[in-house]
Amino acid sequence: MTEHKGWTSTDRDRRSQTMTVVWSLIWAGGFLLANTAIKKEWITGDAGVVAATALVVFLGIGWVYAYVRYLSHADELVRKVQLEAMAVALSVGFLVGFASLLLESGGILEARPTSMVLAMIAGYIAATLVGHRRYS
Amino acid sequence: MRNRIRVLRAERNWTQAELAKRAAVSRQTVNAIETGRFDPSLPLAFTLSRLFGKPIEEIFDPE
Repeated sequence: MTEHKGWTSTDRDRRSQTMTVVWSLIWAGGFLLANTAIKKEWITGDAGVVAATALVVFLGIGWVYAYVRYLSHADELVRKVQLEAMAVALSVGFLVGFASLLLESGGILEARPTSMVLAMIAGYIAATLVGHRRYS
Repeated sequence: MRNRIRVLRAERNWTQAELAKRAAVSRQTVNAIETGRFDPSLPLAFTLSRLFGKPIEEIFDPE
């Protein structure tokens, strides 16, 4: 019988895990390129900005599809870890977002969507690492 | 939940990787079940029961 090599993966989900990473990189690259192009005015006019945004959203849909497919192939422990990580990410994003709004109301700082997004990403990564460590 | 997965696996000279492959789960899942950190779902419990040829009650013991 063939030894399968992954600690957290099975033979079936290794390919979908790879595709999730690939689509994540494609989406992130598209976002960075579009953001740079808009800021440096390589893309000008409302139509250009909307088109670039639509392209990034389209790439994001590909990433979401790959991630959902990965979850459907993953075994139950990985799904449990991912569910908990998404709960933490959502909660952290909400908390940071609403805290930012309060701070903005008090004139302390300007609330930026970037803060909430970065907090969600950090929360998701931390919770995923903690989850896998807890079950190892 | 306590279980006899490790003992039953050893009786058959299966590594964790081999059991994981037979049960279509990851090695981490097998390890987590053996160490009591994770309780398997009912379908997985039935799969393990079939693989070991033992009733679920002889494999798992609720504390």
